[in-house]
Amino acid sequence: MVADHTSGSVPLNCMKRGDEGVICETCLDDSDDAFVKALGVRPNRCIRVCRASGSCVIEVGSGRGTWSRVALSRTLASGIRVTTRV
Amino acid sequence: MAERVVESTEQQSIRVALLGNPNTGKTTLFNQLCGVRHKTSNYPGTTQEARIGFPGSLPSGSEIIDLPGAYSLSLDHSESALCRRTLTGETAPVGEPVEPPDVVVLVVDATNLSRNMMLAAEALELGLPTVILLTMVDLARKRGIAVDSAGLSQELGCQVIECDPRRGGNMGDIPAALLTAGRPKRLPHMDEDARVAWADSMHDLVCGSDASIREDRLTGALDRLLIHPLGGLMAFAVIMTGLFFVIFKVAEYPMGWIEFLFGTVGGWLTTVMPEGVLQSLLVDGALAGVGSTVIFLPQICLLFFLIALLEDTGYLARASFVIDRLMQPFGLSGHAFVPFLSSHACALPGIMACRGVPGSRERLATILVAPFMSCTARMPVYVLLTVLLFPGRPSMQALAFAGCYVVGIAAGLLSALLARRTLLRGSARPMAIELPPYRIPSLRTAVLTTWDRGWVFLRKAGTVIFAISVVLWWLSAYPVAAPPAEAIAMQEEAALVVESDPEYAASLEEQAVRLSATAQASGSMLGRMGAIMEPVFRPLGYDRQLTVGVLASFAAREVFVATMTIQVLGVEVDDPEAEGFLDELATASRSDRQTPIFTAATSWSLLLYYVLAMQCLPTLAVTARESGHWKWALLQFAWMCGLAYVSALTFYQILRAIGVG
Repeated sequence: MVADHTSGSVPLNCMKRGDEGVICETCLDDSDDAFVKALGVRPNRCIRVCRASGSCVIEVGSGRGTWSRVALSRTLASGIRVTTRV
Repeated sequence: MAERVVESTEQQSIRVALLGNPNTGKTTLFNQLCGVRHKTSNYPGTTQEARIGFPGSLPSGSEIIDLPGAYSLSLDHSESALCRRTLTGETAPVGEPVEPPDVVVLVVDATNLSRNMMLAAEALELGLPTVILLTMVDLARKRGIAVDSAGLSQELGCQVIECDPRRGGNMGDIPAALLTAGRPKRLPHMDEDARVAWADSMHDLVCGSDASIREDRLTGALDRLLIHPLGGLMAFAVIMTGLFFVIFKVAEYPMGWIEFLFGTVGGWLTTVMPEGVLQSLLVDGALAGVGSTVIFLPQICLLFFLIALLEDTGYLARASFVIDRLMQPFGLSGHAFVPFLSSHACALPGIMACRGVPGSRERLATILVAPFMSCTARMPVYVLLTVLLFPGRPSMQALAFAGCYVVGIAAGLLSALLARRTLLRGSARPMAIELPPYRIPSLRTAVLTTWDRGWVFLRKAGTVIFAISVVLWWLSAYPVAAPPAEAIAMQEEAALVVESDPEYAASLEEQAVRLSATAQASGSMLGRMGAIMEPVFRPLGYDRQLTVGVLASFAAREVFVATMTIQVLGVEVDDPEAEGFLDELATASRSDRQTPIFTAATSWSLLLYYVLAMQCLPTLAVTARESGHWKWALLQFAWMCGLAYVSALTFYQILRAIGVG
């Protein structure tokens, strides 16, 4: 399920520490796409950036209050688009 | 309620498979259920390890297979495929029946139920008898997450147990649940979106949909430093320095005890056994050889103990992430960090740790270059040569010593880069890794991991080293060379003056023994091989005696010091800093009786050779096993030795050209 508001989205690696948003799509090769999704980094999940420096660390939530921390290399982060929350 | 398929007879043994996401407490649970009653096996044709436990709380013959941690059964990762194929009965660890397990135990982290239920959905679709163990329930409740395990049990039609493997909470309920496990309500095969919706609905059912969950402040606070782009690297450097300090400093004591033990046993055997071939074989061959390997056991155990503690705290995943960007330019990822770290103690466990590196080409590249890391067996050689190069200048010795480590790491990374651009073409897999919450580590898990790894090292390295030691002893003991005339004359003179001047007589006896040993060293098969191979190593600055030392080191590097002392001084000295021995070695001359054996250029050449060369048969054996083919071990041997030879040759010739002796 992909959110339909990608025009206002930014790549994850462009977000700053403390930024929050909702993942709208993942544009990665099949193998990486499947793996990051298995880690919970999938469309419609809320995220918060804990470290931003090319590669990044995010907190990814189920939208139901629970979350986990995931570290992503720059390559992967640049392929994940996020709609930021103001 | 579900149909019971495992009859509740107490006599029937069962096969249980433990399945779960990484970091759910699966290994701690396995250790609690099985303790030391387990064996380590492999999946056929793979390097993936499987632990099979024999829990005392289940009927005799029952087994628990600890499957690799996986986030999904449908990923193209080896661990994911192995979990799937084991559950469907397509594969099994070596020695196990290839059939589906009787019971699947799903280990589910209650603090991250939604994601964990994605894997659970895939497993439940298989329709095997299942028990769900909810872990981290206390942590979930602390964070304000309500956990309704009874509701989950009713919804899925299988038993759900809340347990705490770290503290042993509710562990007693597990055996009965396993013996009476039933088939759950079989889920229809779902596509990914449907599975996500199902997992979220399970989360809502069990935990509610309250979004007012408390944050894990400790993890947030620690991560502000430990994964900071700069602070994280500095913290990494401090933690690794501390780790190595503890390993080398604390291990000194047990290493001393082991050395004392082997020395005492050797001394005792010398006194109780008649002098002869059998005594020499046992004391000089088997005991000395095995002792020289076992002495490194404390360092290896300490390393694994500390790694297990670090892993359990949650830091090791962060360290892999922090180091990832330094590894990427060389075609490796942060996953290579643990193998490289382990290889600094010993390449054997380092290569075995490569099983955690995803991607077969990246894993193979890591295996091939891991032995470039300076292991503890190289240390006596480094100590000897740096002391000979910089006598009385400890700061320069320390600098040269540290330089050896840097050269080893650089050679490993550059070799990896070459491999990834040629034979194992490809870039490093982009890193994505879960960073688990920080936790107090489990001492029991660390001790059991250490026991496991230590035992594997002793069994594998010890047996191979034993065989090598016997062969080396035989090569150096035969054919028996007649004592030289000079030694016979000294012994005769000693016999004449023993009553009038016992001190002089003892000195003569000692010199005669040394002369005989030196003659034996040069006349033995090993000595003759040295003479034959000398022209190969002469361009590097080595004479016959050094060539013998280098040849003997191909069995195991640590024998270099002992071999050289026998060759040069006629006595065996294992401690490279032993008083007086260094002076004698520094001034010892070659067969022309003029040129020193250890000139500055020769010592530098030797040092570089030992940093880079592959001189460890057990490592080659493990490389062959882990890579699945001897050709990779041969390539590793040829590349490392070739690089060592060319580097030492170039360096030696440059030094000679600029006038360094």
